[in-house]
Amino acid sequence: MERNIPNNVNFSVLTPEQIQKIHRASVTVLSEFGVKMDSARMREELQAAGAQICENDIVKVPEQLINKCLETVPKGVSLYSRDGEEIIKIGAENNIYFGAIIDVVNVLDHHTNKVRKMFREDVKNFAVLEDYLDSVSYATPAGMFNGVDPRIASQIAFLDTCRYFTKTQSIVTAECAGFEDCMHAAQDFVGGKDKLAEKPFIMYYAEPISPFMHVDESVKRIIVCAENGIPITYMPYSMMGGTAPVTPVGALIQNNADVLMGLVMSQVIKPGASFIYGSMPTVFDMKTTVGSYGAPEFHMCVAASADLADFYGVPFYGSHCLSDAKTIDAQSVAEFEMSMMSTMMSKANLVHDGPFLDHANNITLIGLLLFDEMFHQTKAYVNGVDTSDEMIDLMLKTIKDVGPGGHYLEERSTLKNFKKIWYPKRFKRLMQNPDESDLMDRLIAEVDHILETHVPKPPTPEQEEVLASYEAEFMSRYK
Amino acid sequence: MDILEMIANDVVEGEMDEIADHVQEALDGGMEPKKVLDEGMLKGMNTVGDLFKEGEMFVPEVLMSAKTMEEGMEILKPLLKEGDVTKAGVVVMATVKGDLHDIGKKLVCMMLEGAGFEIHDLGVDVTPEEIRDAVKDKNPDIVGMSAMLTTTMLSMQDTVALLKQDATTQNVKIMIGGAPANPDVATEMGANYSADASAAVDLAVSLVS
Repeated sequence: MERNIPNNVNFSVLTPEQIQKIHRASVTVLSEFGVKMDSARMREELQAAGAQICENDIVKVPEQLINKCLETVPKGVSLYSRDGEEIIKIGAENNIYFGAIIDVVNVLDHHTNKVRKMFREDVKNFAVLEDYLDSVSYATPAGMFNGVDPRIASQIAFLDTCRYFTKTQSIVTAECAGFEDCMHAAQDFVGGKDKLAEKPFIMYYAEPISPFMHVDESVKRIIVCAENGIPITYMPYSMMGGTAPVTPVGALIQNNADVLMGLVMSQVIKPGASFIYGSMPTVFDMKTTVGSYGAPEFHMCVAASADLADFYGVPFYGSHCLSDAKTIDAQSVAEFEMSMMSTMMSKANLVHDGPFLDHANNITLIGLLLFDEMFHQTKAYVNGVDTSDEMIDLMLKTIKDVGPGGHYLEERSTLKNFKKIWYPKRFKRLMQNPDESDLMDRLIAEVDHILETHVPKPPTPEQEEVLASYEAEFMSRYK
Repeated sequence: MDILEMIANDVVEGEMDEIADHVQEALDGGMEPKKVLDEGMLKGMNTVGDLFKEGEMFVPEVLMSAKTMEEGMEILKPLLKEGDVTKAGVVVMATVKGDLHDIGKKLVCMMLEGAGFEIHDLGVDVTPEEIRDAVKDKNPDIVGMSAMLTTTMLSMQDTVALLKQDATTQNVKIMIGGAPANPDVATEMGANYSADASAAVDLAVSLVS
């Protein structure tokens, strides 16, 4: 079966030999140096599975256990829409799906191109636009909005996203307890724990604290997801020269070891638990001390991490449309494009985060339209070159028919194939371009039009009753 | 280059292997230890601060300069009189309750030490009560709080409120930093804000002056 977005461009950052070297080095880290494991329960489980528990809560994982867990971890994942349709299927075809945003406190206002606080209405607007765009397969509720206690903001955002967004949700919360709130709501929404485990429309997310600190909060998330049949991404975010070694290979060895630790934890709790490999080894800017989201080394390392995940056969959580610039400007668009090209060429499967500005401080509706444009644009790039025998035969016949000095405008092959070229929806290729660009005006108008006219399929009355009852409970907690 | 210029240059260039010899040479030539400190080493660190602000020096280089100065201080410290070395101030630092991220705080601590502050780093996941107790114990000029998660900002608010309740802790100056912090949030809770490590040093200096 063909991949959902055919990738015929032969791209890898790492050769098989480099992958082996990094893998071996990560195994050395896990088996000889060990990592910190705060969770008493996880230390017990790991010890029972063959890991060595040392002083200061250091756990050393033998290669045998790593390999055993690499065998049991599922080599794919399926995720569902809110209403139970399989819309994300990652397996042998190595399909790729793009997700939108992450929860933040600020939004780039699409009319003014200036940052302001996020409010509940913004959560709805992001959900509606993401529901509309076919390029978006899943989304994170735009969580940390102002107007409610921050301890329930992500949960309320999840409920609102259920109301206005029909696809998969990747939940991000400050604490596991917040996710459990969302999970219980989701379980009731679909009719029970088993029903959600069978067709999960949510996934969750956890990070170790780099370097090598697998803290109780993160481990709890792995346990909760394994026990409830919810796919989880375990993703170290580390900064080269700060919280990771300064070289790309050092950061990859470290992050890979930390992710493998997450994978082992999930399989030790429940063999066959769904696990998604994530990694964000980035640049620590030594002038400004920013953990960069636009750095080329970052995107290169993310693509290299996708190569590693592919080696293990597990789904990879990539990153797209990220920038260190604060607003939509030449820098942010350039950085979005670089990350889109990198990720579309890579072996990523679930691609998150974008569009994200100001090194992870604000999100943007305009950015979603730019993402959509770049999605189709880069899709065309990775489609590559069809050198099948049939196509070459056809081309040779066409070339012979047209002959020197001829043209191809009226050829049948032109008529049949010209629409396979990407035609921009929003960017322009006018013969005579206006002196001033009206792109931003058109993007603003498009956002407004979609928000006014697109009506996501609402939850059923029974489903809304579940959402409303959870909302009432959350809101009553901190008065 | 005279010996004081050489010492200042050792600090700027991070010449850890050279500075001890140069400091000793200055002392052997009859120079007062305080003069070596003020016109050699501190002059070098001030240059480092300026170069970092201008984007001409980078964090690892600044940290190397600070380490180089410490090497020089090993020779000078036993010879300096009480009062020769004035601490810039005393700071209690913590990543607040619920938060385990600390690379930013570590960097601020290192930069503040380089600027002459005495630092008491309480670590991560530190409760308001633990911060209050440390303030009573160390009598700092400043409390610095760091957070990466938005929800842990509540811990910052709780800590500020707790410090203000007690007459012995209510006058300590408070600085906050980290991803969710900003000037408005700081003002609302009665604290001061700095966006990065360099600004944190400037802020700390202004708060003690």
